[in-house]
Amino acid sequence: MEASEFPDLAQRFSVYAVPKTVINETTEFVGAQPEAAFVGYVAQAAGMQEASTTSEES
Amino acid sequence: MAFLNEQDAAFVRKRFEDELASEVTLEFFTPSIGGLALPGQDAEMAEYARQILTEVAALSPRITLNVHSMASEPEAAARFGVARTPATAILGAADYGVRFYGMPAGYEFATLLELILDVSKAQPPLSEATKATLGRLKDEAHIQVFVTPT
Repeated sequence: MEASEFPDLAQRFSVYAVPKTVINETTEFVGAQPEAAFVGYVAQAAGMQEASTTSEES
Repeated sequence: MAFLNEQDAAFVRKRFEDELASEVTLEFFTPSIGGLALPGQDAEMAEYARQILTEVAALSPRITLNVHSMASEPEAAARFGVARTPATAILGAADYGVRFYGMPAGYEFATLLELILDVSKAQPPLSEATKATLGRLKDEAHIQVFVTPT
């Protein structure tokens, strides 16, 4: 998203330094991230399904 | 006025020839087409974006550009989930939800090219660990990446 062309969104998400990535409007980070870190943020924002194991997990 | 010079156009054409793995469709949404007058800057931006996309599409027989008007094609906009313009939906063999909002100028032109190439590949170059994690997501992930042209 070109921040300068959508200033209302840039303001809403406090975009100052780019690139800034916002996931599900709640999780955000600045800068180019390595793949594993990026995926970590996606998992944080979208949640993970419970692993199908027989033991209980908290 | 051509956006790309001869040399750049030849370079991009070659990359498309070598690396495009499937047909790619660009669905471009402009605030309006012809007729209606828009607030000056928005109209210029949209027109400039349309010109860039037209030139890019002309560099490969496998890339098709469809231009839509938000004003007169609301059902097309709804179909591609586009609410803001200018917007370009980049589709490969399927609609992977890739959208470029704004004018692909400056460094973001390179971004547009990479998006086109990536979308054409059925298998994205992600690690197995990444694919496993993404396969287990609970909810949808709406990813917005803010950039500025430099």
